[in-house]
Amino acid sequence: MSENWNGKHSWMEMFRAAGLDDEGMHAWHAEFERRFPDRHEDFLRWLGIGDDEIAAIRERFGQ
Amino acid sequence: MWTIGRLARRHGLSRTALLYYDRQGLLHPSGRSPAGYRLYTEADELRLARICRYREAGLPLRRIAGLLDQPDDDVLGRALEAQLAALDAELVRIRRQQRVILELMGSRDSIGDSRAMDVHRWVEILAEAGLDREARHRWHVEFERLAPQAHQDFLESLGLGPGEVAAIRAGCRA
Repeated sequence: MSENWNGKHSWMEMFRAAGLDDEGMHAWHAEFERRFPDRHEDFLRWLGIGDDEIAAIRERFGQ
Repeated sequence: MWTIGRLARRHGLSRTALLYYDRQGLLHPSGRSPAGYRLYTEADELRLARICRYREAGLPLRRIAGLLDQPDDDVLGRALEAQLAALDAELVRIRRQQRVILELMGSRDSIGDSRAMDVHRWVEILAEAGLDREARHRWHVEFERLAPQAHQDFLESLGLGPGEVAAIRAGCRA
């Protein structure tokens, strides 16, 4: 990916610009994981996040 | 000057294709060799490059013929918009076929809860996290500013058609 795109960090920056705080981001991950766990994983991978970190994120936001 | 064989090779076409374009009035070679062979000038080559470009965009040849001798940008814009709309309709048709195939295969679930990440589901999750319409717009604007190509890829991954993607991105720059 070209441009000023830096996967995870760019994504968080965009969400903050849109007005999402930490709590909102938490809710978003939790909802994504609860409703579409496979898509959540695909999405995290698309952001360039490694397997270990993906596992940690899903663990954290799963029930 | 280009011979027909060289010009065809350069554009990844067959000689037959160029002969066909000649017959259809799309591209006439401007010159002839003393032996009577077709010779193409730089201007002919530029014209062929435009033909190839429009073909890549999926425009039918009869439409291209009209565009080449029409310097009006509006006409080109309308032709491209019509092509985008046609692609959107085609995508809708293909998605419907996918759904029917999955149903016939008895795997209705696979396109249900956990698999497909379409645009509606995406919006639902964002809304759940507290991003209302206005906030979602800010997010798109930021995405477009920061990484237009990633924005495009992402929107496509949600199954949006080219017209819808173009409209969202244009809305961000307005």
